Amino acid sequence: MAKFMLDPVEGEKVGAVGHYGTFTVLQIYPDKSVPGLGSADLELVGTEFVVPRVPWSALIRPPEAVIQRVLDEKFASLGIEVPTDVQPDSFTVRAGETYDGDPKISISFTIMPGVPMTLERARELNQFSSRLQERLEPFAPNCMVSVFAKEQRELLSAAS
Amino acid sequence: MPLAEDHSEKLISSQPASHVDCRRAVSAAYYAAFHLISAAIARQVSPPEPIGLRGRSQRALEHSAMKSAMSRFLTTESVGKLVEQIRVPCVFSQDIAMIAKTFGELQDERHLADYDVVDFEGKVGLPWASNNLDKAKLVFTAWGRVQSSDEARLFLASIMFGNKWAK
Repeated sequence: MAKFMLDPVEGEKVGAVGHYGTFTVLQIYPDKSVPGLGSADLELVGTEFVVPRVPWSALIRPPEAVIQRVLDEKFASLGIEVPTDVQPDSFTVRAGETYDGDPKISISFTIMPGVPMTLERARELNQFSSRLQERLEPFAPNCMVSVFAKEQRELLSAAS
Repeated sequence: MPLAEDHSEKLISSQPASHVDCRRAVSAAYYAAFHLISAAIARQVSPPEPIGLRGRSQRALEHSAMKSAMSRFLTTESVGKLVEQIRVPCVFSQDIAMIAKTFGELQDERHLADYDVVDFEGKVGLPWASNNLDKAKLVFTAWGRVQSSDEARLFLASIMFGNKWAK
């Protein structure tokens, strides 16, 4: 599996170990000698209460936010070839629950319209989905991760 | 190939496969995996006679309880905790972990297939159906490899009796 750091960024919403509530990252202080280490000033959302210099290791991010950032910033590092009929920038991440209440992260991507969907094409897309799921699962421990292709639907067929 | 899985394959092989076919294929794919595991449990816990006893044992199984019991086989840590609790030796099996994980995924998709008529995510379609059929096939392949092992026997017993083992 590709390993990489996701440093916090200013403006990002996070939680912090030992503190209740959601914080906004105000400023980051990366450690100049060790990649992946540093601290950050955090502001409690809706207040002006600031917790200074919280170590990055104490930041808590929702898995959907982590996965969104992996897709946005580190896709190439995942080492997966994207099928040509997958629309670039169509990946969306959504947090939810399984039908029996377990946490679930759904990642969808849209495929190019106009090409008939065959079983062979579907299987190629599934191989891609399975590889992507495998790579993303470690970023969402204790969550079911589901990756799937969406076909663009015309309004008429969606309504019928 | 088991009947439900075979049926599932046929449904999406006819082109173009309708959304109804896709939903039925996913439902059948889940039930193929469900019957594979539940029949194995029934064989393990119940003799073939009197006739009907094994079937009743199989029907006693509940879907969500099965998924929940299987979650104890997902990671080396959870298997370690189980071994510590029941003091029966067991090692982590990648095949059983895959079966447990995939079973849960198929079960969730079966709910979408059978109950969620809205499908607001736009998931229902041929890629979704064939993906779940492939997952069901993986369950069969993995079970074929692992079914004779001690880990598989503990896995089956745990699904049936796991919630009573804390006593």
